[in-house]
Amino acid sequence: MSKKGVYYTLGSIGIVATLMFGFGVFQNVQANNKLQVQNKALKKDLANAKSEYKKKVSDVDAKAYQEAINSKDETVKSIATHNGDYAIVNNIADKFFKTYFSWKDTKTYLARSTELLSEGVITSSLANDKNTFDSGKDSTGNDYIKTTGIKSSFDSADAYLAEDMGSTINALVKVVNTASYKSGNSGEATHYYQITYDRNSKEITAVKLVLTV
Amino acid sequence: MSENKGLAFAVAGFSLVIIAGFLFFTTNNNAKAKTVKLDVKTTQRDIDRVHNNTKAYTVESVLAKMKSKQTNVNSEINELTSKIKTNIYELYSVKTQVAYDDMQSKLKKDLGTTFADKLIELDKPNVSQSGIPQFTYAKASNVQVAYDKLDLDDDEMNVYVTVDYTTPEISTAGSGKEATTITNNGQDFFALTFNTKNKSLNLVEYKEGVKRNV
Repeated sequence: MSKKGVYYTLGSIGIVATLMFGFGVFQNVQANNKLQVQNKALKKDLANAKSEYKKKVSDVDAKAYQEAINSKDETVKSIATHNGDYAIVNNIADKFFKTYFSWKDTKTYLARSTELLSEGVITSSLANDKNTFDSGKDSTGNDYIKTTGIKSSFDSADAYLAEDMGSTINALVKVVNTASYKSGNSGEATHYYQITYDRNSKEITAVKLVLTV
Repeated sequence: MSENKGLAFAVAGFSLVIIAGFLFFTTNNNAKAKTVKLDVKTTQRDIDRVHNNTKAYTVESVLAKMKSKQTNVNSEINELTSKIKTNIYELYSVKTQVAYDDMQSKLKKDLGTTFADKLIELDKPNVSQSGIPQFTYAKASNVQVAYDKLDLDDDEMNVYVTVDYTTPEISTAGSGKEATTITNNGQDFFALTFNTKNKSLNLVEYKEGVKRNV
């Protein structure tokens, strides 16, 4: 074969191989895309499965605790009662402190008691308690909310069962809030409160600050 | 001239095949594809696991778990609360070195070593020149013990203790001024864990509350 013939043969083999590789590349890309699509769909399935699980847990728990609370087995009954009460105080503490630690000015600060009262979270005597809901003024009559520009946002409340006194429950509540000032300063603070919850009226009857750390 | 053309053709074909080959091998089962494949596998396994858990979570299984705890939370809590309260009220009102020393072994037995050690350290007396021990606390006026929920998958339970106390009278004799005495009110806060299985109590955190003059 002439040199020319060899060159053309080699060149042609190259072109054919290129075409084959090219097809291969096309297939690879398609396969990879398919994998990605499949993966995305699976992630969605997983998320669905998880929310399905969560729903089942809450449904089952509700039924199981209902059954357990009437159980003849003292162990089962005690756990259900304890955890049931725990859920109750956490629920009410969350509602109370979410409002109690959220204000942006004097007006919203002073509106907290009426809001909590109208939501049925607290008794009217607690709404009128000056230790729990102060006037926002210091001893000289100065509006310190306005002066300092202090605002507060609620972060979290975790309640723990302290005493079960039959018709009322005492709980210790750990509350975290973030306060910010006109000056630009801001900071997180943790407070411990003791709250008293009335089982019959389903309201908080007393709140006392135990500790700020 | 046509020989040069042929050479150029061969070189072109050769270059193209190198590029195409390179592309083929980089797209074939590359690192990214491998990661995705692995991800698909684990996700599939996770889905199966969640489905199985969902199927297995029944009223019966929850009740069985409660039963298997063999813990009467109510009596556990009452017993522990009374132990904590009795010991704290007693220790915080201790007046003599002998009583203070005597309490230590009981504290350790009732409340576990870590909590007992902290309490003993907190009330450690200063011995004045007169030889009379001065204790940190005069009296605990209120002790509260609060409990977390009982986790069915865990034997540890968080316990929180708050103590309102008063200090002994402290003399504030200043030079030339008449001596007066004051007492302070204060609060102690303890975070503990209680193991409902082996009944052990462990101190996690101690915080001193705000002291106020009375």
